[in-house]
Amino acid sequence: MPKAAARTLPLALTDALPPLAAIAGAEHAHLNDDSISISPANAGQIAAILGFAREHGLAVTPTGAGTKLDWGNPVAPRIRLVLDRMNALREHSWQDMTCGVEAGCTWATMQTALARHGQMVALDPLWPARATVGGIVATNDGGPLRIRYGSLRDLIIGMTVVLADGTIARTGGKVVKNVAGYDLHKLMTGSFGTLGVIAGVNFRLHPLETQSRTWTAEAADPSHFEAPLHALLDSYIIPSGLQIRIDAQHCALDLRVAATPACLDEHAAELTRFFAPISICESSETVLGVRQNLFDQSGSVLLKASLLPSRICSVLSQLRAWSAAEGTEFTAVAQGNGLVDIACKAASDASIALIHRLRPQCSSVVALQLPAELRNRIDLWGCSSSALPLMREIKRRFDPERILNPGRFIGNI
Amino acid sequence: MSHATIQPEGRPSSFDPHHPPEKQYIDDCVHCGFCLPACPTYVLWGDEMDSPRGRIYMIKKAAQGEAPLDARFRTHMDNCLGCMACMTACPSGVEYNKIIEPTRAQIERNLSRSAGESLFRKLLFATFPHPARLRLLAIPLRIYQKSGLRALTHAIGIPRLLPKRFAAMESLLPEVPSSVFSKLPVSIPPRSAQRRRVGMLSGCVQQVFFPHVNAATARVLAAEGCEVIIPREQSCCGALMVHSGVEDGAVALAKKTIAAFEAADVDTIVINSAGCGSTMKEYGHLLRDDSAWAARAAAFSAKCRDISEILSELEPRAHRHPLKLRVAYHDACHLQHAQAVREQPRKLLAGIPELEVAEIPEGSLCCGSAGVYNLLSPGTANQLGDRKVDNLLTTSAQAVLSANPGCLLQLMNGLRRRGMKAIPAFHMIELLDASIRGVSAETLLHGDKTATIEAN
Amino acid sequence: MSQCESGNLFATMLTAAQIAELRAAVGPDGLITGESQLQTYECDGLTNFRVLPGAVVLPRTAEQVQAAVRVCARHKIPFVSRGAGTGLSGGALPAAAGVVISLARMNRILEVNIPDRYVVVEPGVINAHVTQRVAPSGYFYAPDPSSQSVCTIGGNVAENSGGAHCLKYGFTVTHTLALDVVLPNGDLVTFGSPALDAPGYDLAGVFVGSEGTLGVTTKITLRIVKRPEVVQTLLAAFASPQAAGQTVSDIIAAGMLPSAMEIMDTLAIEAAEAAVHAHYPMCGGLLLVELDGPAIDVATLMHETRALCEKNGATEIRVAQSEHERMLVWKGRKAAFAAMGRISPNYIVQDGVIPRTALPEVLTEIDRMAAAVNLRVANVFHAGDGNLHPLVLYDHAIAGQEEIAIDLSYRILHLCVDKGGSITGEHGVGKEKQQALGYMFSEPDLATMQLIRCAFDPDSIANPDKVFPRARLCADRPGPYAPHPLETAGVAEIF
Repeated sequence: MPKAAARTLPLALTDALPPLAAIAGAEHAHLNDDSISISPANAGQIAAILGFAREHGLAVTPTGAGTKLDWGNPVAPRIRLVLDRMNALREHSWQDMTCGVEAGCTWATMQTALARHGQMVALDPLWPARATVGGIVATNDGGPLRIRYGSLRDLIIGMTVVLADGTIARTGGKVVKNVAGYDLHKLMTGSFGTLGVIAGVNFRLHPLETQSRTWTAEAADPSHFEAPLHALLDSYIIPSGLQIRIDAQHCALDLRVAATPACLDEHAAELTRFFAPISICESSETVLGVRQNLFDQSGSVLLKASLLPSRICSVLSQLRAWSAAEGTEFTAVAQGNGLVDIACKAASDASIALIHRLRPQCSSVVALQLPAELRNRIDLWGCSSSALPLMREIKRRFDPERILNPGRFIGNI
Repeated sequence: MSHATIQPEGRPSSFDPHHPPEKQYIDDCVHCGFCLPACPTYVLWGDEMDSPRGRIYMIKKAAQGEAPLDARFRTHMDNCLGCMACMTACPSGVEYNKIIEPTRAQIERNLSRSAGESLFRKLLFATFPHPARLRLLAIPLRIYQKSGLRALTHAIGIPRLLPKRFAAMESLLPEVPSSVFSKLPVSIPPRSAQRRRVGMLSGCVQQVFFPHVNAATARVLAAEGCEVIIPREQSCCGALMVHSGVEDGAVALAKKTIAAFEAADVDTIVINSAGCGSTMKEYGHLLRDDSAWAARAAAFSAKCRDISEILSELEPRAHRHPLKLRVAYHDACHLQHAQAVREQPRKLLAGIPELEVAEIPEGSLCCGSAGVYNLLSPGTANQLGDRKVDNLLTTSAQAVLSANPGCLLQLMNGLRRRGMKAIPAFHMIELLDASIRGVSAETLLHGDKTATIEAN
Repeated sequence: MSQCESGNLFATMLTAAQIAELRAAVGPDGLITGESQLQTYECDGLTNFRVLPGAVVLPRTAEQVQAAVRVCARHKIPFVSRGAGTGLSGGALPAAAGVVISLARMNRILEVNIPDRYVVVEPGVINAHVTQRVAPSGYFYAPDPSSQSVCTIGGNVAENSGGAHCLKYGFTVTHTLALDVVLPNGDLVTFGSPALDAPGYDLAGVFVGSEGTLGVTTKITLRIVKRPEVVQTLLAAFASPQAAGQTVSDIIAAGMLPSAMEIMDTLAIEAAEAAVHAHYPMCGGLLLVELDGPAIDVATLMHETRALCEKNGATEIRVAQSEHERMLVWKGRKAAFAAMGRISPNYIVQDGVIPRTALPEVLTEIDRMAAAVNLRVANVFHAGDGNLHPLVLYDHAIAGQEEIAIDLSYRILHLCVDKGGSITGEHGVGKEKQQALGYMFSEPDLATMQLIRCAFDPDSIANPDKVFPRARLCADRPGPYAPHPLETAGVAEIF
């Protein structure tokens, strides 16, 4: 194992290009203004690229379609490791309800293939047509389906990862039930590419929801939803999506349930009872995709807040009140499990003030998207975990030379 | 592969050769641990040595010569209440009673206790199994209680100054009834067409302190068409001694009991004390090595029934009057675990119109009486007793029922400690008796205990 | 002289000073040092492995746990955590002359929050007690290992326990929101939070299933789930476990997701009957299917399931008609292991996982392997997720039979890996399957896991000789072999 090379002079990009091109093929390595983009064909090439990066102290950012590159602290990578060539759905064992996919495969491509046997990975992330498995897993993205099926932590059963020193490691396996060894894949999920490059993922699958119905109720204020929400969550109705949408003028609750038509009819009657006197009517399931609209607004501050579900309505009411007082525009979508996405268009000070106001009211508030000028005014992760020293130690063990997305994560890991 | 079970090189057992706990019973235990949450001492203390699994393991180690029979060993065995809740919980069918009882006997034979402890035990075994002696002690005790001396003693706080065990005894003993000297007749005719000729155990503590329970038992049996024979020659059944490892004493009493009932020539032997019933059903095992007695003991045991069992076997005949009452039924360990009798008393109580029977939470957990455990280990017994009473109080019952005199004493004591002595404790047969005789709930709750047979 | 199996080359007896420090940490009534008492802690549910510890501590608070761990850290004394000691892989097997930290006395339920659906418990709380506590409000705690009436949450966290309902409801990790953990250096940290997605690495996700090698948990926040409207349990009798297995595949193919599917073979049925008299039909393969959800949906699903059973030749189909009947059906299944004691003097229970589709051929191969060495194997499995529990029956008293049984059980595990499965679905690797982990994972895989271990426990004192195939020192680097500094210095040798 070669020792970390003494770095006398930083390697110029032009000098880095030929050796990198030799690894992946000249047509797959490009020089940009401030970085080299390189598309490896397999895990072995990833390992070689990382080995090179380590030797020369070049920061690396793994990327798929780049949809979430601006989430987290800014990194100025010298190498953009693009996973677009590693995009195959390697295996779909539909009878075992598992599949294995390369990290560069887009979410939609994978789901379309799985649908041929009536199955899916039970997750609805942002930008499914473009976003890749690797990026979705690295950022732990997830949408309304999460309330029923859990997060990526509950859906991933195995992973292939390439570490900073070129080790290619497998974790987990191909079966749903497996407690052999450590669940390295859980560590990798949501690690924002700071511990290794995800090369492939094995998922457990669920049957497609072939029959479902969506309802929407509107109210003047979120507080009106408090009681119906409580009744709904305490009932036998199993939501596949439950969200409250709110901005300065509107406030609506959407619910999607997958069940047999007879069961859905029964639920409809119950819902009318829970929500009375607010009326609740059938609507289209597309309404559950509005979360993405928030992220598509350019120039907004985008916050991901996490609360205990019982506090959703009161925090949303407060949010509206503050925004009105500060004169800021906002839109929020709160999932029934307590995760809230908030888009805020406002003057810098007002945005920062909003984050500071929200943080004590929530378990956490992370500024996923923050305009450049605001980034050094606030810690966008806002994390004060007692486990931070341990997390740093883990980073140190996995990436001692700090080549993988250095500084991107909490505590500037 | 070097991880196979370590084989000790044929070491001598730490037990002596007379009836050591047998390998076949010890080996039934697969060390699964299902018994742990059922065991009162594990529930209280959380240490492995005070769980059935741990005790069996210590016994196994001693049998394999890998651990000595010493004071530490004895402490953990003494801590065991002998409640047999572990037997109910065990999926492998381990006969824990057949392991602990010979172990206790080994301890008594091979280890000497402190002078104080020895004396106390001798005192217990010299009085409790002997009704006549108990009655003699009852006279001064009754005076102590009725004269106000007891109240005064408690007011001053003297019991706190007594050695724990004497304080325990003082607090446990119930009000000595005025009927303490009454005796039941030898033979009671059935009050309806005769279906059975049964013998009845009069017990020791039961007949002195709860003679009304015996009277109620006899009355109900008679009402259900049984001729009841109560042999005068019978003695204590020896349960307290079996459970404490006093093997010789137990064997002697067993033989006496068997002989007394053989002479009476009955179809069934009815027992209204759970602790006694479980021992008498085991006489066959106790006397298995005695060629003269083995068969007689086995035949005897086969005829033994708890009062609730026999009344469940016989179709109820006597009319049950309503008893508008809410009661909680406490399962005595030696009935629910050692004899696996749970449904029968409930079924009988369900036959009483308007009676509400509540289940006590943590019903499998011993009340702490466990024979003379509450006299030998009063601290632990009180912890369990308090827990049982706290659970009982959540039922809002007006009275608590049991099937064992020891439990009744323990419950009454616990209720007193919680300032709830207004809640009476009955043997469940008393309710059946009251229902058959048409006694009202009011009278039952507040009335005097009828200890004679004639009353109707 | 105590019998010690020295897994640790450097095991030494605890000194009087160290014992005194432990006593100060947990109080005199929290320390056990008598040899005959320590013997009761020398093994857990797996009795083939026995190692005498140097001391056992029974802390009552997180502070006492920290104090005890600090003593161990200071003197580099290995320690092993223990709950109810019901584990089946030797996870609670003590380190020779090391300390056992028993969490049995930390058994309080600290907080119950129904609207936000979580419960906070100490590690010694019994699994079933969590459900008992929230049942009156219509909720339950989903992971239900067969030993749930005894096993503790701390142990469940260590092993990432599943149970019969994990196909639909997931595992302990699915229901763990947050953990307080005492790290091997004595620091107390919190992983996760009751609200979702606490920023940072998912250390709660890594800790669950780490088998006590990363620290000691002192507080766990668990997710609770609303009870479904109805639960219906169906029993179907087939001529063979293979036919039952085919039915399971058909159910999955039909897009149904039952909450549980279990298969038992003739031997397992016999043992369970003897133990609890659940009145199972005697047959070659018994299938138990549990469906839950809204009443209308369950009725439809049950109808479809019956049809599939009939299609595969079920000779008898029964649906439990009452909660009591349902409890009895499950009681038999859950007592099956322990009940083996009734039909065989000894047994080894294994815990392999295979892709469901491989079930029929694996069963056939197990039969063949067992017949070849003249032993019987009873089979119980979580058919929904392919988790196999072959129970290798033998008699310890017959010379050599134990070794044959152990060997057969390992060959069955290798077979599972060969078919694309795992060596353990829920019992954990522990001591028992250390070597087999090396069969399932390659050197780079193991070295990567070791990075995590070293980050948490650089001195290797937390349950050191478990899980990984060989003792590794923490300066080991993944990738091709390189001599360790101690080797270069001539102090140590790897063999």
